[in-house]
Amino acid sequence: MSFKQYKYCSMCKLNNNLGKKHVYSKRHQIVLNNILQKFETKIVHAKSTLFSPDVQDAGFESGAKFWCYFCQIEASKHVVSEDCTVLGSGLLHHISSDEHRASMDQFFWDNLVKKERRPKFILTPADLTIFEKSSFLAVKKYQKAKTEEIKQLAATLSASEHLRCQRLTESMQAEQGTSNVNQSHFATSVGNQSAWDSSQSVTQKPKRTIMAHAEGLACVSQAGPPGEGNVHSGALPPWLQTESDGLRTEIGPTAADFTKHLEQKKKAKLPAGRVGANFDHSDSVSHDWLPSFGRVWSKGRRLQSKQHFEKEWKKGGGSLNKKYSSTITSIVKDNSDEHLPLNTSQKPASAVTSCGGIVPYKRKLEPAASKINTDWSGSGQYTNQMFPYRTSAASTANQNAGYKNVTDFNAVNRSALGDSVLTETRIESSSNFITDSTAVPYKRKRIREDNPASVHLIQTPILSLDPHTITK
Amino acid sequence: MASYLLPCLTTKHEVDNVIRHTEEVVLVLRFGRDDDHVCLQLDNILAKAVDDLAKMAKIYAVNVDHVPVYTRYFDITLIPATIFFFNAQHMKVDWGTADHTKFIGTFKCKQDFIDVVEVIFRGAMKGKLMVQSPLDPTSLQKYELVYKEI
Repeated sequence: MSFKQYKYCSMCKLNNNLGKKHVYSKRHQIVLNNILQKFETKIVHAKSTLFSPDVQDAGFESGAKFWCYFCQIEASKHVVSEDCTVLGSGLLHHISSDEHRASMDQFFWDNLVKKERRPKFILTPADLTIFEKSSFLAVKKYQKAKTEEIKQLAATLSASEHLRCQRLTESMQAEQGTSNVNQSHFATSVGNQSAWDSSQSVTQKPKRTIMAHAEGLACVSQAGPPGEGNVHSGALPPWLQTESDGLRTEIGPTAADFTKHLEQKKKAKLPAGRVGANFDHSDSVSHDWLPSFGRVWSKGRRLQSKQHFEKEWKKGGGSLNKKYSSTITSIVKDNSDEHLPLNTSQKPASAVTSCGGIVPYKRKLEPAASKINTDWSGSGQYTNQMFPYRTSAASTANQNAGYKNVTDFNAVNRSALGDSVLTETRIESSSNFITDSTAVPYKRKRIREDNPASVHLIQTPILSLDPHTITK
Repeated sequence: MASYLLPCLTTKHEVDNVIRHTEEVVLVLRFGRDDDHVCLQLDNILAKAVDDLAKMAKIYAVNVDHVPVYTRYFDITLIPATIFFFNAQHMKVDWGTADHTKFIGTFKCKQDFIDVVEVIFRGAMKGKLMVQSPLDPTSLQKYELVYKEI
């Protein structure tokens, strides 16, 4: 038994290893017969129209195709020209082609079909020419018929239009003799304004109903201005009248409104509990407005502090008054021997001093320092004893919880010291203060016992009450 | 008016406007003089930080000599003094020193200042009028204040 390769029979849709013998199998024969019968009927049907082809309009069975079993291709059944189709023409053309003939021969050979059946699946060239001629004639006939039809349709339409117009003119004449009833039977062509006027051609005077009565109906009557036109007079309808008042051409928000809206939207996203959320940023504010400020030393409400300040300000006549500053430099007794630790100045402008002049942490005040100190006090000698931070009775006088005398220069004026002297010295002294940029007072933590000569230095406040320094 | 580093405010009216119309950002007012060297140091740091803090803060310089009202009202005795506002409300910061209402002296570096502004901003957004300073208290300017009952 030799091995035979499995082959696929596309008609039976079956793999078999019988080779050529498969054609003789019962199944295959049945399938073959079916196929041939089907195809034959199609071709016979198409051939029947050989002498009188069927012509339809262009969209008839568009895209209709048939499967040629021999060629194994799909071809279109009908042929479409510009305004019509000839049914079956495509099929017949394919049948008459050489490729089809060749494939048919091959098919018949493979499947052992008798030769007698061949001519049924073929169209001879002679027959084809006959078909073409007859189809040409048929197409012509069809086109003619179509134009006829269109003409007829047009005729009927025009006839009906004419009739309508006639009836209209009749009704217009009839209207003259009747009462004032709206003739809306015939739908007039409400095209444009001119149509209005022309259709309602003012043959008689325009009228307006002044009284109406009906049983069971409420009467609605409005007496408008006598000059006003209405439907009957052919006046311009209200919706075509341009606006006389109110909105101008623009509608909607302005650009400013829009940007404001956007900003508001952004703000709405911020937390509602934030400081000053309900602060009205509007412009209207008096000249004397001051922000809410919780003062340095005060406890209690900020409003109180503001009121307090306003009082002071008024008292002081609206000017800077030293006496009422809450933060002061030092309260000094009138003792002339007392050395003022700090400068005093009458000029309000220089009331505030640079705190850069305060603390030269980095280096000690050498002889230059003593010079500075003398400038301050205005007296020549300067000793430990006289150093205000230690010795001044003033410091005891206004001692507060361990704060020593201030290094702030807003002192009350001392009569002992001339103003002019002080102001001069002050200006000088400022120049004697730290001049080089390296003396930044952050670098080193100052330790008290660091330097034995530290007595000359301005000490930092020590919050712990050191009985030592206080009493001195 | 030398200050080309920061925008300057010269009159009370201007300061009022700035306080009232700065919305939703921290307002930093530096009170001081233009020619004072510590003020200049501080101005330098503030000017450097303007861009970094553009969305969080607005920074202005005010000359104390020109606005005596505010100098008195805010009790400014040492300069430079920096005062913070948010939506026209004054913000207090606990620096660990005596005066919580303002910052006295200059900052050690730009980052310090940025940290302070950020803390203030966050506190303000939460509705706090007083916040805790993130700075190291040892790095701050030390000063003494004495007050007197009026």
